[in-house]
Amino acid sequence: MIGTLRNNPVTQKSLKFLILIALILWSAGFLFPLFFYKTENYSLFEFLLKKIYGFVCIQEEQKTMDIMGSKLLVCARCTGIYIGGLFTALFLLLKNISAGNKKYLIIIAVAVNLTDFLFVSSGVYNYSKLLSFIAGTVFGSVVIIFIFDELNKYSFEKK
Amino acid sequence: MQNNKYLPSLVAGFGAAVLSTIPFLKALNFCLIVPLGSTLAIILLDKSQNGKIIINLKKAAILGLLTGIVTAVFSTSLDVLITFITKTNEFVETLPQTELMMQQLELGAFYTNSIGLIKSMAAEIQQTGFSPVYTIALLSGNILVDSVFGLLGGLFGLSIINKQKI
Repeated sequence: MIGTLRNNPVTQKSLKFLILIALILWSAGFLFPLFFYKTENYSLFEFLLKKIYGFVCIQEEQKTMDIMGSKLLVCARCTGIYIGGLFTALFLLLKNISAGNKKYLIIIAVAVNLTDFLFVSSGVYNYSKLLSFIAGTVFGSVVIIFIFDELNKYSFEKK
Repeated sequence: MQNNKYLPSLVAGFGAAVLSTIPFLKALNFCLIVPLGSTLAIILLDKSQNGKIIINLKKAAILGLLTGIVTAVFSTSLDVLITFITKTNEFVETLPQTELMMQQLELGAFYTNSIGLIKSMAAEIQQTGFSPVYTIALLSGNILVDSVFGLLGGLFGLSIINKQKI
């Protein structure tokens, strides 16, 4: 259908690059405590960033990752989603790989997260930051693979 | 495209907004609700047209963006409605912590001005159940974040329907 249109690799790469930059900036925000905890006005920035990330994450204390004594600004699953997306975007920019027709990838990604959530909620096992992080990473990676795959198919030339 | 091209955005956006107010589902992943809403909007549009229309990248991005905005508007409305009924919300409940945190920041005149505004918003909510400034701030924040996440969800939804057609 759409694959028959002529592609413009430059624009495709630019869009992918734009997504990567957005992911870097977004990740830098929630990783802020990790790198800038000694800087001046740290508390003010942490306060403001926490409010911003509060729009997309519940930020429960016990679900937030603690790295080298610094608490990240989003929960473990969100951290996984963004980090997974970031590294996958970087990898796909360097190496163009297609997911092809692998629809099951998204089913796996959703199932992993849903299973983890349901098992924790029903008390099968206690909440694990590492498990949530891994589940999130799988989901974030699959989403970026699918989006980049779609960008590969489209024409950006003026008709 | 037919006249009901925006209906999937409205349906999915409303659904996502309702889900984002349920505490149990918030815990699953707040940031997944909006993109999944946009994905659903794309799938709904494709199903409603029986695959007769071609949803391209631009259409998917616009539909995703629209779903994000609809979600932001509905979720803010629901938040405002619940606040109006209960005359309290998370913002009011966490005011002491916010105040303490801001005191520790030693912001000088900025602290005096901002805490005054924050306290007046909280007082309005406790007295009347509604604060225009709080509502505008909440709506702006929600639109900003939800539209970006919605856009990504739109592209993701497009990828899913195209993979089904391969």
